[in-house]
Amino acid sequence: MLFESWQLAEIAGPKKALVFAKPEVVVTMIQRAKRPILVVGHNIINGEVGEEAINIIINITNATNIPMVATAHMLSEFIKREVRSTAWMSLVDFANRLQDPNWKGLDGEGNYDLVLFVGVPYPMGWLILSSLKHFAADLTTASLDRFYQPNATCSFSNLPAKKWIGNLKLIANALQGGKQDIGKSGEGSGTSS
Amino acid sequence: MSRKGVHVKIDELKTNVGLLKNLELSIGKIIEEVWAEPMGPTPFPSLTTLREWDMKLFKRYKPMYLPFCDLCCFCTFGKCDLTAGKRGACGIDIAAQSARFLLLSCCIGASTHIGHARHMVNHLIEKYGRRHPIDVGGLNIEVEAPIIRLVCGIKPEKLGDLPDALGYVENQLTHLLSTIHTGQEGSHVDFESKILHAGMIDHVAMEIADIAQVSALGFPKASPEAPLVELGLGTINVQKPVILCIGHNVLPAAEVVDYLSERGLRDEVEVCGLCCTAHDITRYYSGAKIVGPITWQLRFVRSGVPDVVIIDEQCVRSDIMDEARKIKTPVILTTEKICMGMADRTRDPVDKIVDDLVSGKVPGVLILDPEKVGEVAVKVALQVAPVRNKFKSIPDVNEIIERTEPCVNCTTFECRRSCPNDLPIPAALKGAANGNLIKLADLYEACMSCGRCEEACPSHQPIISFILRACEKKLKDETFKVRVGRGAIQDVEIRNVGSPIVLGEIPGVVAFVGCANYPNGERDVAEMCMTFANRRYIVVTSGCAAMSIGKYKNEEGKTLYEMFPGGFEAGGILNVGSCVANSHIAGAVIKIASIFARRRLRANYEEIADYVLNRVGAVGVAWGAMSQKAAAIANGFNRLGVPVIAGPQGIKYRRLALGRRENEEDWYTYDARTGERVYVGPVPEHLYYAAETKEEAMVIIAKLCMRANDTTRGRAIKLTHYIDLHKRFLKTMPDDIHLFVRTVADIPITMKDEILEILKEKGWKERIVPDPTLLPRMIRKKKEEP
Repeated sequence: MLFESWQLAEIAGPKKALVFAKPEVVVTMIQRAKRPILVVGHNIINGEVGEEAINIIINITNATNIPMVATAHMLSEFIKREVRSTAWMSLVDFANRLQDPNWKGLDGEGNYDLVLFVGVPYPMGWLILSSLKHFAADLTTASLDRFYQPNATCSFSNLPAKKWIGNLKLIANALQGGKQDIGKSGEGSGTSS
Repeated sequence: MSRKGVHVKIDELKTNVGLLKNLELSIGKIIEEVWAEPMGPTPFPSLTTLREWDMKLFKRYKPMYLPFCDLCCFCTFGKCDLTAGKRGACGIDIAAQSARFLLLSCCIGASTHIGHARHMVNHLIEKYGRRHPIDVGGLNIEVEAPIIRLVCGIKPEKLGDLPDALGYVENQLTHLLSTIHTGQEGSHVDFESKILHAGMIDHVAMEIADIAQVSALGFPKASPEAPLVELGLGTINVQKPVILCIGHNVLPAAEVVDYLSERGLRDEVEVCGLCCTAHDITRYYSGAKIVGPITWQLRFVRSGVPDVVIIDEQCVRSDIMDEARKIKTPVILTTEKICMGMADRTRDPVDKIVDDLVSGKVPGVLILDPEKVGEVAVKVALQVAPVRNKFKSIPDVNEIIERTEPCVNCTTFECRRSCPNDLPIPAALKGAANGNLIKLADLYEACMSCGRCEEACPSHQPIISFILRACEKKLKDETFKVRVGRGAIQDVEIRNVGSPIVLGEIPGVVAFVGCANYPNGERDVAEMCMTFANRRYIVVTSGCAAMSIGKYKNEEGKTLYEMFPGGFEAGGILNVGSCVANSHIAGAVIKIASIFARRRLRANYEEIADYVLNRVGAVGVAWGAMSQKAAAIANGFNRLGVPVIAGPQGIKYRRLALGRRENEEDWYTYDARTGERVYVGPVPEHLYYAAETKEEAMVIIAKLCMRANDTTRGRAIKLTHYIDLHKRFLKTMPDDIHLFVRTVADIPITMKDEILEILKEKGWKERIVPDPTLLPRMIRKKKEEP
């Protein structure tokens, strides 16, 4: 069950996401990326750990200056929490642009090489990631959501809420300090299919 | 319009020229031309006639594909892996395959409406004659069939004229389907053009079906004051025998009403419906009740209320026989499209069929004669009801507590993992095991009752039934009102609002249509609908969405249909009717071009679509789009220049058509006055879009209502709504205002200083408001060559 699509019938493949064996791999990916960006969907605030999750996401972006784009009506949630540097673009608009290698990005500096998704409704994320898998093949996509997204390049497995929050915390803490040690996890070695 | 074929046979004819023997002369139709309007450029368009127009659309709104499957399994070479650029054994790639799949969906959708229309027209011609007049609004409507006129170039006046248009769409559908075969079309863009063609013929078929039934069955004829009827499970009188009609083809249900009327039994038997048949039966007889949208099938059948179930066609659950058997209710199947393995009893004596159904000897029968269905259904209902005594298949509370005991230790979560909306079912079941049914009841609003959770559950728990029991009282209290489908929009209504719509002073026409596969329950649709009606948009609705909208009451206990007028006017909420009545929404848009702007309508598709795209601020919202029919309908609107917004599940159609506002070159039109190419901004920005939440959808609806032709006053009004909704839901000013402000006069007066500051930062420059067109042939004065 850990490495299956969370929605039972949404079976992907042949090419499926690698699973983050440990959250430190996410840290390494972020550190090694030249143009990373974090996409935050409205589902982050739903569920029993929503408030905790959004605060951790804010910590991650504060620690790394990784740009963040809020989709749906999530921007209002960030503004409520006085996070004012967030950009807004709808999920479909953003994914559409990611497929254009000549897109200038939200800052005019060019397209991204690593896109991390969190808080995206599962079926929508499944298809958006499928679109990117097929039509932005050079892009690395990572799903930081609770449930395995097989069309991402890498994804968490299906996790209980507490374990998932623990992973996000670990990523945030690692990015806030001790960066040198984190890289030793090694890219690729930390994922399993 | 036309007369039936002439056939002349001469065995022998002696003339001074010579001897003729065995001469046969056959003429299929004689066209009697009574329509003064000259024939336009594209009568009965073939697959490629409007291809150039489609390419103009897709140059601006490029398809974005979202493959639901990485493989193709259409032929025996497959399965072929098409991941990320790989081609299959036939050479197809994933873009073309995704478009091909959507074309298949649209062909299925269109074929459903075409089949429906064919059945309807044949039956009505047989019953009322070929010369029965087409009348959809009496003296209030001159343009009786705007889509047929526009696409086919014919003006149907009688039922007997409709088969000409039907023959055309049947022919086109065959050609479209053939292109999906292995080794046919290979270009994704050409598949896209064919998708729009499928959408367009779907609209023709819907119009044929609806104007035929409106004309012959006495439905409301374009009446803003169509009666209010009852909606909801709580409105059904369970003391009476109940006949439930499910589907989309009203003919059998109408015969039930006729039989009851003839026998003076109308007050003795309750007639109700689910899905579009419910709309149409209330258009026929306002004493009928609407149970709810398509998603209510399991709920209502399991409630045990129906004593007879009549099935016609479309969107019927494939397991309906099993569900009906559980409550000991006989089923009558009434069309060739759904036979469910039952014996064809069409030619059997009524009493014999009734005996077999009442005694339970057979669980159901197929009867292809609607009149016989009416008699059998009523007789069976009267006899079965006292015996059944509303036998239901819903466990009581103690049984739920007992049965959910294994759920406490279940760790598979398969119920939740099979739920399209990822609802927290495991927690609700665990609560129930402990005697607390509150969490089960909490699922009710967001649950679409698809039943996938039950199929996945390793313990085979009837979870939908548990939820029904948990909110039994709420169900009984569900009593709402919906305005009966009014059908077409009157010509005079178009004349009244044509100018303010085209000039932008009525900020838009928003159509909430389609199925009930909602991401978060029915209430979202009602909320969106009310938001735009309150803002003086014209809100039009149909199908399951129209029922969902009726399920919202204000503090005074009034539904939206009681709160807002039913006219095609600012702040109106109009229910046009069932799925096939969607044609009247497209028809209204076409009539704005034809009646208000006096554009030629006859076989003039490209010009009218160009007019709509650039001038008519209309947007379709299919928040719960589920079916292949919904895909076809949406693409029919797209070809006509009307953008469509789907809910998050709508992304599963595998293709969006999105504009890129920053690509300036995409947003030029010609100025028809001068021939100059003029930047008009990204209006409308998208053609087919999927929103993540209702809040996002509302912002995008307001944005997509902007058109190149808006007057400065109209643009200021539209910008006011766009900015206000953006601020309300996203708490910020939109970052693209500079793209929509053409002159200082476009700026909403109350926000002038703030917006001028933004424009200054963006380096904005004033630009002209052209007479916009994408068609070079519409330029009145050609630009002189240097």
